[in-house]
Amino acid sequence: MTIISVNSARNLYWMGRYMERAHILTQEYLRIYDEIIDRDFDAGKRLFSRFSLGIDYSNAKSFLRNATVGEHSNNIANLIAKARENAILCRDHIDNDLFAYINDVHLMLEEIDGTGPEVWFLEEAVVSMKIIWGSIHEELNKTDGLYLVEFGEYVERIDLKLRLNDNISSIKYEAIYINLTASRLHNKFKPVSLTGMRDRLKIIELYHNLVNEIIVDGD
Amino acid sequence: MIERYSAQTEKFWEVYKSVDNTQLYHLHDFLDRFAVNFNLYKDGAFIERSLPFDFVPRIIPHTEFITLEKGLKQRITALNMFLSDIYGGQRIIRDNVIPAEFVYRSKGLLPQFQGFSPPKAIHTHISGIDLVKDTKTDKWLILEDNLRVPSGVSYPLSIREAYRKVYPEFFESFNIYPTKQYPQQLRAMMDHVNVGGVNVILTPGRYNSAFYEHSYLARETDATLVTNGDLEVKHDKLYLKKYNGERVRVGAVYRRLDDDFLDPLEFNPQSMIGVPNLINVYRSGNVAIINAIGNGVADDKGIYYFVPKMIKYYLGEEPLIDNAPTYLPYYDADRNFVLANIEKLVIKDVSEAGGYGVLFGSKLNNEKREEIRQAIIAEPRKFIAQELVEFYDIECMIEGELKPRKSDLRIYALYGQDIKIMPGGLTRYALEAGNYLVNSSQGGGFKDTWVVEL
Repeated sequence: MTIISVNSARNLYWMGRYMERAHILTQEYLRIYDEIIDRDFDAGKRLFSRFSLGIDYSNAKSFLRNATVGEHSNNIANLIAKARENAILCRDHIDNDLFAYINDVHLMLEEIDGTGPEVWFLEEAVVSMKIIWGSIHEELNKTDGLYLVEFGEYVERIDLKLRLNDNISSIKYEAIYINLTASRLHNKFKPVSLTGMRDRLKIIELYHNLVNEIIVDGD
Repeated sequence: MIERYSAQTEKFWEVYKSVDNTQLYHLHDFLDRFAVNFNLYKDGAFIERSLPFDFVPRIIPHTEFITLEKGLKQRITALNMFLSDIYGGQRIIRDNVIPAEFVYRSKGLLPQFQGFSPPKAIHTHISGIDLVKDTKTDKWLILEDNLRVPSGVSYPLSIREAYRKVYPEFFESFNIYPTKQYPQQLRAMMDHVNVGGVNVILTPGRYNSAFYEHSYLARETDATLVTNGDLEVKHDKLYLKKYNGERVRVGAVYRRLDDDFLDPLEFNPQSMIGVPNLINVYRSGNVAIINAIGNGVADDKGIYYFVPKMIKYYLGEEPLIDNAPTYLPYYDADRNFVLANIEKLVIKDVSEAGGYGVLFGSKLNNEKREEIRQAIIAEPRKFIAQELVEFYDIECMIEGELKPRKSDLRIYALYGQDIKIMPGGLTRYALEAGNYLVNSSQGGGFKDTWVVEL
């Protein structure tokens, strides 16, 4: 099996994070689109404020456009571009078809014109992202590569869950899974305990920094 | 001028009539979907782009390829012997086959490696030999021996996969020699020279034009793709930094950067992509570097002139493939001829590559010709001159029509336990009519090359 270098490990991890962020946020944006139509006009503003973004929109379609290609780092096109960039950098560790699925979504989002996207377009993107995750699990089956991507995936889930709702117990399963994955990657890893922790931002920071315990340069 | 169709080419067009040519777009889609890129820097910006591609393959009858194969094996054997000799006893200089000055003034010679022999005495692990077919003689001619870091093999290998999926009819109709064994042969070659440890492919990084190729070859050979930051030298050994902090010994480095950038402590101190102290490891015999360091002296455009002499000298054989007719201004008679006929010749600066430093005398105005004359007089060793070889054009499908374009052929050879010549190669063609520069870095396109037996 090919050895994974420090740099490639980081790329696999970040590919997982960006893919998961794009996957969850696209679904979230589609949900908010419906809420805006149902006359909760500020639902999108509340969502953006969770990311400290003050983004304006005039209707559901303009919300969706902002969410997809707006000038902020959480737009879907940007998240997929970042996932793709990391996939390019660790391409020697991933299957060719898996790379092509990621690239397909990227190329699809790049084609959005001056008025798009339509809702069905993003729904299609969600389906493609599910295929990507299926492909990741199938192609990287039980390898360190898979664990690194999954590690990124679950760190991102914790980040988003804690940003999007205030309930710390909502991350219970992700926390268990991260402990399991991290110990597969690094035999000296000490499982994280959330007992007594109440500050969401501190928990997010804790999980963000965990990567430095797993991917170790060793200098 | 287009080469007369062989029976194999006629067969291709016969099969082509029966296939669904509306499916052609799948081949281009494949390049986009899989980002089979050859990136460019233009006006200071990084441009990610597919290499322009034409679906009409170059077809070489198998019988013709057998001659090429023999000739290339002969040439690569002689070039490897030359490198062993130049960095060893320098018999070829003592026996006055090549003037000493010619070797010593080569920019590619690295005197600090005098007396050093790489693992298994192999220098030319991977060659990418450029050829054209002369319309006058109907014979293949060698244009360049690329013995340092030849690139491009991944493009015909990748598109071949797509061809087989889109047009199996061709592969069912006649015998197209497979090329898919190349990565396994590359791996076997790396294993052969490996001195103990894993194989890695050292890339300058994401923004190198051929990064796609680097990652492709790493994936296909199970080598680890690394940048300099992934490697570390300790106690004259080279290690790969594994993600969990472990260090894994490296036994062979297939480097995709030039000598000058390999080790800032040995070569260019400004290099940000090299590995400090790598050369000490190499000198200690603790790692194989593919291709060997110092090969530049053998694919120097000036030394090229002497390759037929090398073949006779080392192997006692007549060269099976000729060079393009070449003049060395270093010799008085040649210099006088070149100075008098500059408008009919192609002048090449021996220190340049990738289509740079190539001047067509016919396209220069009087002032520029005089400038070149003076440069040749001042530094004759710096230039070679070649007759403009009228090589065959190749047919390219451009805007729905077959149009002739200048093209060359790069054939790849691996030197491990023995020499293996890939039955195929990278056919490069100029996008504009009449342009002789086919290099990918000059905007040229590519085709697959099929070695065919009916």
